[in-house]
Amino acid sequence: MRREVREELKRVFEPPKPQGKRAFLRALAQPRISILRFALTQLGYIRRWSWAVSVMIFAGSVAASVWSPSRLLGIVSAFAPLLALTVVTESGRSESYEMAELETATRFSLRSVLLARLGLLGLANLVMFFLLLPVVVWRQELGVLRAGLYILLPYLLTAFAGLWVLRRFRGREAVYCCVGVAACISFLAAMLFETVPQLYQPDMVSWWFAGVLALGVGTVRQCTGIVRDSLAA
Amino acid sequence: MKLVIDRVSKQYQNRIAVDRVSATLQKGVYGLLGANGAGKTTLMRMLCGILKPTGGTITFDGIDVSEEAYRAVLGYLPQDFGYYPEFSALDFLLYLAALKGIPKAQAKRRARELLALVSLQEAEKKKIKTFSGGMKQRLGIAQALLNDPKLLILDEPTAGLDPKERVRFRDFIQTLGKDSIVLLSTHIVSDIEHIADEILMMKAGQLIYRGNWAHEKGDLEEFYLQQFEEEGTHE
Repeated sequence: MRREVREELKRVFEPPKPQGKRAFLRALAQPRISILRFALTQLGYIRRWSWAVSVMIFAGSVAASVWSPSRLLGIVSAFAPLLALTVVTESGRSESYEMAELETATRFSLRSVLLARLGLLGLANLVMFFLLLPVVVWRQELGVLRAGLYILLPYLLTAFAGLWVLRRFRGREAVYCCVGVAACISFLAAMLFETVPQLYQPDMVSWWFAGVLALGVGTVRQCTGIVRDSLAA
Repeated sequence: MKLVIDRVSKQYQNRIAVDRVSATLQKGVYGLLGANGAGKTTLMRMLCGILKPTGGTITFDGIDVSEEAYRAVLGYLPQDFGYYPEFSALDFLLYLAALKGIPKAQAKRRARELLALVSLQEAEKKKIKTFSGGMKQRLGIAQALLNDPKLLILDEPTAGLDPKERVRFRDFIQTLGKDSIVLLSTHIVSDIEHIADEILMMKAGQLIYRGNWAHEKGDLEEFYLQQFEEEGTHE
């Protein structure tokens, strides 16, 4: 049929309204996203300040390694709680902004949101840890084990304490409390490095190791607890 | 299409919020009436998998409420809901569409369609924190419809809507009820009197009435008030 005739017919005759459109569309298999794709979409919903904090910590640590190498370990230990804070505040976001109920009633539900956030930020923090560790080892002339323990302990203490607070208290106040906890641990880490150097001697490594182990187990328990709490009460 | 609620109960320490409620719902609109503290919201939360029943089961076409496949066909509007402060109306719908497993391109189309349906298309890029209560409620209705749910649970959906919006909403719910199970709870009897295929009334956690309300039975509001006039209900 010639195009002009076709166009004219379209103009003159109104097509009938579709019948049973909704039922027809429902009967079709709708494309769905996979759980992996869902987890990756959560990357875009993690707040920018969480990534900004990581970048600033990395930049600050690199700057410290150049301008104040003798204090680098103290600075990185003091920054570590702030990294942990990003994970803690992201995991408490749904509750503090009253989105938890809406998220729970969806296909992927609140549990998947929490796992995605904890997983993505945890992974990012792990990358940060492995980037900073060699710098600290080199500049402070410490072994990998000692450097790792001195950074991990304040990180895990903040994560453990923050998640504990979130599980017991609700709303924005819980988040402010976590910020306070992180600030205190950060200050403590910086002060201890400056004022109690004996703590950082090789003969104290077993205590640091025990602390990291206990807090590691505690943090994992709090993480599983927070995910479990997100399931139907 | 069948929602089976079988002897569902919810008990908190020394209080029974929902007491052995049983009902089978098929396509249509169901109005859930009850005073504050009757157990309506608790029941709705159990139907959405937010609360776990202490006893009984809830299934949709044989799928248990705890399964992902149940939530995939569910649309829910809670009585109160929040939002992430940086979200615009469109961002909010796209975020929830992702949680409902809808691919991005389809989600964008669907979100824009629903914003037009609830007359929020002009506000799609505005931050939700600038919205009025009625606008927020309309946005909540839109998100409940994202996945074209077969089971739609609406808790006080007309709260904050002006009379014109309430009429539009009622007409829309009637249309939805032809292809889905719609359960809506309200204190406003007139919201459901004319559109509900069946009325369910709750009192002290129990289902005290279920049936079609025909005009020859008298005024629904009067009947409803009679059930609750003496009870000292509590929150």
